Amino acid sequence: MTLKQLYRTIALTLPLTWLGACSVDVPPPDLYSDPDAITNVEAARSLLTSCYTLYPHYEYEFSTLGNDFCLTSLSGKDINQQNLYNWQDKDISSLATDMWLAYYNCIANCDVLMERLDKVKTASTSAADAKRAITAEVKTLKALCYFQLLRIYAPAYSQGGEADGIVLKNRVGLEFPKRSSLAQCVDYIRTLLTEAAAVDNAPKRNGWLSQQAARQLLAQLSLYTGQYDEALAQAKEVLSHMPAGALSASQYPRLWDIATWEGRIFAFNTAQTYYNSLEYSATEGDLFALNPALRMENTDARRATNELAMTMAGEERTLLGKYNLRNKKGLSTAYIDQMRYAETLFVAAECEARTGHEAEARQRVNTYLEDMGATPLGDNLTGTALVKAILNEKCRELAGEGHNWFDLKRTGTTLPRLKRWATAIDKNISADDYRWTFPIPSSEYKYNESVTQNPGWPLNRN
Amino acid sequence: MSKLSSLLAMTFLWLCSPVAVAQHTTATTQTAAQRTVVTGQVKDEQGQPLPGVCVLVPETKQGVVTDPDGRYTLTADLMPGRTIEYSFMGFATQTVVYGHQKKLNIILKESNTELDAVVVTARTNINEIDIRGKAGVVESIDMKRVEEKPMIDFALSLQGQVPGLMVVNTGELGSRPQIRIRGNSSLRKGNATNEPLYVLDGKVISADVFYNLNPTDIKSIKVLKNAAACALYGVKAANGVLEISSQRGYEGAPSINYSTNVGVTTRGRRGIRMMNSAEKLELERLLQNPETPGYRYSADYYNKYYANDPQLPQLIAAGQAKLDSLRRINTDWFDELLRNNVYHRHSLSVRGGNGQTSYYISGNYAYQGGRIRGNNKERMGIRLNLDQRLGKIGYLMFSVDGAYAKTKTPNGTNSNPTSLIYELNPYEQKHGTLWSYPGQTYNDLMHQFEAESKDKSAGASASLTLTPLPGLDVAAVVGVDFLLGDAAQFTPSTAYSEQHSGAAEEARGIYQKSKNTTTNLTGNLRVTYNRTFAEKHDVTVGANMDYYRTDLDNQLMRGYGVGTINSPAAINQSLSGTRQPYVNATRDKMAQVGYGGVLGYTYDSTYDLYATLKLDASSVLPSDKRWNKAWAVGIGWTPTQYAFLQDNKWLTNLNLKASYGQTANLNGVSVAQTVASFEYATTSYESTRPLNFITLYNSDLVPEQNHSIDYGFSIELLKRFTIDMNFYTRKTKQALLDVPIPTSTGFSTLKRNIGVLQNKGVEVSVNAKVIDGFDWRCSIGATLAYNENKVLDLYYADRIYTYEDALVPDYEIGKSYDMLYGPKSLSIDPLTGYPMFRGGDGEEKSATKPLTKDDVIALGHLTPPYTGTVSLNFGYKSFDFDMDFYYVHGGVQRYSYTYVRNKDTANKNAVGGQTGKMWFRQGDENKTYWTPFYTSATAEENIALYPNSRTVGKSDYLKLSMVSLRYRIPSVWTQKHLPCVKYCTVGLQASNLYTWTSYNESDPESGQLAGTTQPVFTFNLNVTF
Repeated sequence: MTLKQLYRTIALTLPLTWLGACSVDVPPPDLYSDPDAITNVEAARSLLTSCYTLYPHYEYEFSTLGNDFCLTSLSGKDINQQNLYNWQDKDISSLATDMWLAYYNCIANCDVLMERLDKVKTASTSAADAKRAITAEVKTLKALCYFQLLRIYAPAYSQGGEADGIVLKNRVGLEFPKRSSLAQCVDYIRTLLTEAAAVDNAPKRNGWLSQQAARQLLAQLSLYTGQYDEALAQAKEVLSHMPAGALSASQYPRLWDIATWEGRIFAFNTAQTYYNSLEYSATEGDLFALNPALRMENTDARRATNELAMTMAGEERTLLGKYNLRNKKGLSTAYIDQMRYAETLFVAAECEARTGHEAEARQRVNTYLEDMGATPLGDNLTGTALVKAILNEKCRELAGEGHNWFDLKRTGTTLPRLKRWATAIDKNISADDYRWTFPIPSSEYKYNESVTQNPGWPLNRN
Repeated sequence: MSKLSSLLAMTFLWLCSPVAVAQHTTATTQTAAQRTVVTGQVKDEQGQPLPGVCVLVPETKQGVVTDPDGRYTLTADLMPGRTIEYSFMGFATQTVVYGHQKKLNIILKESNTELDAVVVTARTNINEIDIRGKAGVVESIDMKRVEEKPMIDFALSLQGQVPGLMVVNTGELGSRPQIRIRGNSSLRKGNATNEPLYVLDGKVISADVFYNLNPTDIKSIKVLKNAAACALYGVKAANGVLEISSQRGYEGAPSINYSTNVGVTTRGRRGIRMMNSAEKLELERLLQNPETPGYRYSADYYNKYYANDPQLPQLIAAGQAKLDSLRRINTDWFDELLRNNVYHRHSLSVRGGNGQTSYYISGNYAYQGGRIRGNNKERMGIRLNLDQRLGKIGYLMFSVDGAYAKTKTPNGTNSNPTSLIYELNPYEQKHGTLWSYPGQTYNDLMHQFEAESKDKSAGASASLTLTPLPGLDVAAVVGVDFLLGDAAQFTPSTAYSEQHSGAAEEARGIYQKSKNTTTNLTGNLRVTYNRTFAEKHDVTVGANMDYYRTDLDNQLMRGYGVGTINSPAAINQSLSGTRQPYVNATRDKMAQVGYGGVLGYTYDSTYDLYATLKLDASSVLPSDKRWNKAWAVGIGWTPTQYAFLQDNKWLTNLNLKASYGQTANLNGVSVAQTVASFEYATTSYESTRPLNFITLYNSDLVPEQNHSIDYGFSIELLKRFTIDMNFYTRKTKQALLDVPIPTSTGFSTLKRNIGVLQNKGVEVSVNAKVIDGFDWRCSIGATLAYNENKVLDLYYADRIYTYEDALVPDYEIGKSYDMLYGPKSLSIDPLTGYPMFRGGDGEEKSATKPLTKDDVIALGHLTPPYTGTVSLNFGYKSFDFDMDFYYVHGGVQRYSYTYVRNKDTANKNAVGGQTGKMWFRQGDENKTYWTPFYTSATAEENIALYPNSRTVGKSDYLKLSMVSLRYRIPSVWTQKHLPCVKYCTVGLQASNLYTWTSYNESDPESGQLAGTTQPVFTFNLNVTF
């Protein structure tokens, strides 16, 4: 081959090689992108797992806002949290902004998964079962987020179903919807839960939302809307599937243990430290102490895990146990209890008391209290006094778990703000206080003109 | 013979300029060859000096190479009749018959104008298609002036070199500059979206590789400004292109060049003068903060707290004595903390070759010490360029280069020694505890933090140019550019921040290291055919194809418990919780492919027509909307080519150009923003790895579309004065921005196409060769660039607020998008001590009331709209003097004002004169600084959140950016004393010597207290062997 031929060959082949070698189908190496990202049950389960991890945990904040705590000598060390205890507008606003985004972020991720479930192929029956479970779980999780939002940002249901509820999203992405009415929101959540509760799903581990969890949420939703008969039926359905020993005194400590346990209905799995914001320092004590009204008797089997005795400001004080106790002992937390049978029991009892089955209600509660070694409710308790006593026992049971504030709002209870060590009442938050309904954050209303603000809160659209 | 006569005629013309010096032709009767010296200068047709031209006497094989100014001194055995050959790659070789001339000035013509023979033109940058010049705005940087500026940051030395190329220093030595061509084309701020594309010898290089290039290795840099010039590069070139060509070898014996600059850097502009001890102690007494000695030891203090103490007079006397002793100390922390430092640069290059092969090899090293201890930068690099002629039809060019740059700084987030200049008190010293930092000593403040970033780069490119048929040009280049950015940060356990971090002893000391690898692959192919029909129709058609690929591979590790050991090996891996070791890695890949065509037509050298089209696809977008279009059309008209103007002595050249074009811009857009993308989390939930949805994507996202119109002219009068003027309007449609969205979407922002913005401006450059002789030379040049921007349209709203508390929208239709807004401050209210603003209703409004949108006015542009230079060159025989000024006008910067102290911050030093200018009590009138006592939360918030007319300053400045005086040592002397030396110049060169500005703080350019480019004064030596 002469040199000239060689050059000609080069001149000819070079462009051709070039054309063949250049491709722009370069998928990003770290990422899985549509359209093929979520097409099998494994990927769908992983995406669902991500949704679980995105669920925000404001249990500590709601306990601060509720009746769970009183101030301590160290409360001033965290000014923002102390302001939150005192229901300062600014701090509630800022919390409302964070929570709104966090719950909706979890919802958006659930929607991302739901919009892709149709593309998930199932080759075997076990895969089809897995897909059904995923579908039910993502609906339950989304319903849980919406239910939380509704209870936080909408007025109590007793004020009427026509009031503004929350923003219901149709799809992932940019939309400017109005707030749906409370009744519409409830319908939407109920539909999601009913569909989920129809799926036979009994995962082994506590971190997955089971059929029981969907039923439990249905009971809570009915209770929220004041449909006590339905709530009672649903709570009884949950309790009928309760494993033996779930409410026994001997098994009680397992609620805070790191192992999964069928005695829980649902708990978020976590690898992170939890509830450590309550602690100021391991030696000096906590920012808040347990509200003395919620203390347990010495004979109560629950006391060992639920309370923590510690010397603060020269005296022995009763602080919150549970996760805080584990933190103080240097133990890690693996499960954040979200739904448990004790709560179901109190829901059922409240419904019974409210629907005229007072004896059944008393008996239901007293069986549990006696098992735990606590003083049972007196037989003379009837009517609102009985309901109040049941709710008080529920608060005691669930102290620090972020549920009490919601019950106080639902039942329209005046909330006392306590002084240091609860020596006196500083002020009362009345049942009609505007702050029970959190403000729609400016990050929503500034960019979504169709959204209204809740009464009492500023609306500054510029 | 005709060639010779034309050459002589040209030489004659050249020498007959008004101040030309009479020719010293010495008649000699000798016919035998004798050692003779001939000097001269070689230029191209545009009058630019040509360095590296081989000047050879073929009979004797004696020869030299022209120096960087195109000058040469040939010593050879000459006799009348012998020829001298001038040859240079890409130019037609000229032969001159010697006839006793002592001076021979030569103009070389580009070889492709010779139509009778096929001459291969080698192009280092294959995109350098000449027809682009017909309509595109392509300007060259004067590399000689860049080389004369002694500063280590190559990118910063380009400041002011070409109008419309804006280079801004952003902080201390070694910080990344901001480089823009004709303003920001995007609403999205930052380098990723607005920085031009850098192309070295046809291959795309990373910005950090560009910042650390060695100026002496660079032959030329072309700045491509408009769509007509850039369209060839397609979607990558939306922000303009800098095309860099490196030095190549040439035919001739090896020539070795060594050049060095050695000198000092000084502290730079002081800006604000702080208080002396007496003044500061008096201020402290007035501010009544017991944490300050001025109040703590004052009679006021004792009278207030020890009023009933029987020892009161003694206490006061003791306090007075203490104060007197403090008053005697007067530390100037500007002098103590900042220091003069050294600068040196060395480059060594060898070049040479024969008719077939030529080479250029170079190595360089540079070091610049910073103003503050622990801040410095050094870089070194090597380069090998090899060119091989392939028979008669082609060239193969091969380049490899490697570079290393290291920047060190003691300034970090928790430690900023530079800011101490404005904080440490004049009565404090390097020993003893500090009042300004209670509980700490000077040593505690130093050695708190070290950061070191290294850029290691390597590149290789091969380009092939073939001309298989006359007029047909096939060129291809493949190149790879590799950059390893290696950044380490170290906070020793002994640092104050670590000692007080609350971390356990074994967990103290932080070490962080990141390694970011960027690989750029370039493959280009160009086929061009040029032919002239009927002697008047010059037609060029071309096709081109590009492939670009970028791979990013980033790793980060952070560990704790390293103690005082600056190494990752010391990381305590047993730690858990917040101080547990952290590892993070990301990888990304992007590819682009493009196909295009060009068409050029010139009629009778008078009318030009140019059109180009490029279609390219990017991997960032989903496959159905991957393809983008870039196109441009342009026309040119050169009336001076008409017969009646051709010999006009006044108007020697006139050219008019206009063009319109579109390019797309995808910079700063990632895959996850356009399509749903997921990545696995590093944690697990119930033993399952979560697959995270990365971010809300916008499936409607399209690339930004730049539409640019350009028109301009260039006039040359008397062959001496040139005026170039360019007007441009660049509209960015579908401008992208991360805009806030309702948070019920689950996300707070979304990248959206939100509107249309416009950059409009004019660039003028004027040059005058006042004196243009061989011995006397003087030229003056000036440039001015003006750029204004505004938002023309927003698709979804009239205004956009990017954060919730904003009073004024960040973007509003009809408004500029780099404007600083705030209230107009009228005076300090004698009653409250807070500023009085002019309210929206024209009435006075106290700062203690909340501000509203109506109270706010435009305070000025953050980016100065006017920039420009004035440059001067003066030469006499062997002396060369250059001077450059750079100026900016029309911008404002917000003052930091941290040096104005109130009661809470009284323990830190304050600005000189604060006592007199500050409001202290009711009734104080005509004050500049507001009350030091916190009395109104609203007023404090108003002042902290929003700038006002009192807290911004005009950032106008005029900088003497370069002075260079060089002396070329006469060859007679060097031949006598240093026969091995071909050329030698010595000089004094300095950069950033002085800045004139009305701006009160240290640096109007970066607006930062720690900023300011250091003045550098050096001695320069340049020797060629």
